[in-house]
Amino acid sequence: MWLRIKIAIRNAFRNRRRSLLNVLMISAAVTAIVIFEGFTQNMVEGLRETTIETQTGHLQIALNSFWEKKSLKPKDNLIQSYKNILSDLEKDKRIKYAAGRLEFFGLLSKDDDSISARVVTIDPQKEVSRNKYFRFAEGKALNDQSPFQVAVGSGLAKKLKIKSGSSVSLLSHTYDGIVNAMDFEVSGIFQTDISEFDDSTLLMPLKTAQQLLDTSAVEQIVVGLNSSWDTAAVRSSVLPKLASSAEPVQVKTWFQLATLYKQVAMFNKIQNLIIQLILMSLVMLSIANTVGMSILERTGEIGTIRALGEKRATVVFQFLMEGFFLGLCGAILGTCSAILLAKLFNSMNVPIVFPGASAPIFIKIEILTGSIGKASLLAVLITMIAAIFPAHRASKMNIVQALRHNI
Amino acid sequence: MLKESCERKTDCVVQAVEVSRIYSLGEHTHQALNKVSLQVSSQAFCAIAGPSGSGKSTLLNILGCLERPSSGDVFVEGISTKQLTVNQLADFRSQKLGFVFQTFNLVPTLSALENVEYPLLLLNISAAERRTIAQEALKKVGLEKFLKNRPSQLSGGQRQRVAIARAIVKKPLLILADEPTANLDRNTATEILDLMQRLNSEEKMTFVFSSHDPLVLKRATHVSYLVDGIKVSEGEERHVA
Repeated sequence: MWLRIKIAIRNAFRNRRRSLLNVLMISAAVTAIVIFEGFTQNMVEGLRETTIETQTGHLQIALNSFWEKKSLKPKDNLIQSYKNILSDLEKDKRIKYAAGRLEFFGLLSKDDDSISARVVTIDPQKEVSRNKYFRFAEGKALNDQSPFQVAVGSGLAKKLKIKSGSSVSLLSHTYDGIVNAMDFEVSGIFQTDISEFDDSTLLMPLKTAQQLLDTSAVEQIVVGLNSSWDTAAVRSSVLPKLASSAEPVQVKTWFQLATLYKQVAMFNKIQNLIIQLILMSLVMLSIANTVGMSILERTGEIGTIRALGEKRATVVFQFLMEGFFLGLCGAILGTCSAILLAKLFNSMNVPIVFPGASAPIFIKIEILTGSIGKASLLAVLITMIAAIFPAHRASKMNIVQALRHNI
Repeated sequence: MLKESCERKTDCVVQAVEVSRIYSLGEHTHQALNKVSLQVSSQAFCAIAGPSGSGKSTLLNILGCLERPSSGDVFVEGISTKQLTVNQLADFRSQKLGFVFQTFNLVPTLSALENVEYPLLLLNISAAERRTIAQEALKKVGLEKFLKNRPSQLSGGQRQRVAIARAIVKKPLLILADEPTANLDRNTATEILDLMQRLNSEEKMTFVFSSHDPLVLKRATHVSYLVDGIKVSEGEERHVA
């Protein structure tokens, strides 16, 4: 076998310039796949974490009627016994925080200007870890000591010319339909990576919101985990506990709730697939052409080994091995260049604004082992597949005619 | 009839029985061989002679199972090759036959030693054993100092010696040499023929040549003469016109 491997390696690289071009072509395809997947993966992961931390949490618990939107009265959708559920959840070490949440719309006013705003509550004491995802361009995050403060999204703040320290009023109505209003001081202006959120949202302490809406209940319980990978496991373990709760609740995961994330992830997946398809088609055509030329040049040699008693299948196998080694070299070179390029890009801090993002982020390319494995395997397989047809043709050559070609 | 005689004669290694070969060239056909019969005995040093286009290479190719006759049959050690599949013929060649070509036909990416090892690879012989046997074969042809040289680093005569070593390395039943001296100068051709004759007499190897080189024909113990695909005479070289 070793002699066969030696022969395959020597044949694969007997025309050095042509082999080099092929290896470069394969490695360029591998590099492109690894870099592109590393880039999109990082972007999608970033979006996932931002979505989880700023909006959905890992799990959301709410009454069945809330999810099913059966009742037209929001009051019917409130969890009254949420504190019991929270104390149960907080025993699980995989859970970073569990907090009640209210979400409602109100009229935000500053001076003579008013605008409709979405209010999302936050428990400043429990949800401290979320603060890093609300990047504060001005001022600071909400804290437990200042209940009459709100944090305003950068887009919303811009519309009302709100600054950190500004005084604003919020007009809403309680769950019983009574109009209520409160004055607040703006603690800070935040920015997430999702402009839609920043353009419409203000954050308010949960207790203050409960006062404004005249309730002691919450609509949802938001659960944050130490690791996103634990989502399914934690969901499974909390379900039995919740089954015995006083109110019929359902648990949804972030994946069920994050529509934008799902759309972006799917788009990137399809985009990556199309790019891989195009690149691998080019590699296949190039390799098929090279193997075809190589066979033409080696007609006499093929005739000779067939005359010596080499079987057709072995001739095909020989060419497949040559394809394998070309593919392998391309995969190794491609992986190395992808790692180098990723390091270079990451060190350059190149800014980019994604569609729907409120601020530029720096390009970060993550080198994924799975991506390297997949691109390498694809490269090797495609090179071998590309070699099959010409190799099969070579194996079917008439021995006597092949021998007439000098070698 | 001839088959029976070959089966009876225990020293008969290959026998062609009324072999014809017709090539189709578009609408035209060309009869390269016309009912040629031939018998090669063990340890023979015989030649198929004739002018260019007489069909000697075609006959050699058919004897070597490289192509099939249009009609007739070839028996190797009494076994008909007519019904053998492509793979069985390949096995047959790898086990029983050795080839020496006019243009040497060495694999350019392999060293002299590796070229000689190649036929043993097809017989699934272990690497260490292959190496030893190949070295011995190269020693027999006087190339023990050129084991690692690639064909491009060898002279024409040396290349043909490597080709001979490759043909003899598995101690085949029969060695078929297609115009082995055609690409060599007189002195080298003589050396190559000396070598083959020595292998024939000392190692008891059977050789069949196709050639019109008087140097070859003079040494052949038996010559079959072809003209336009028909065997016109057979006998010792001195009796051939």
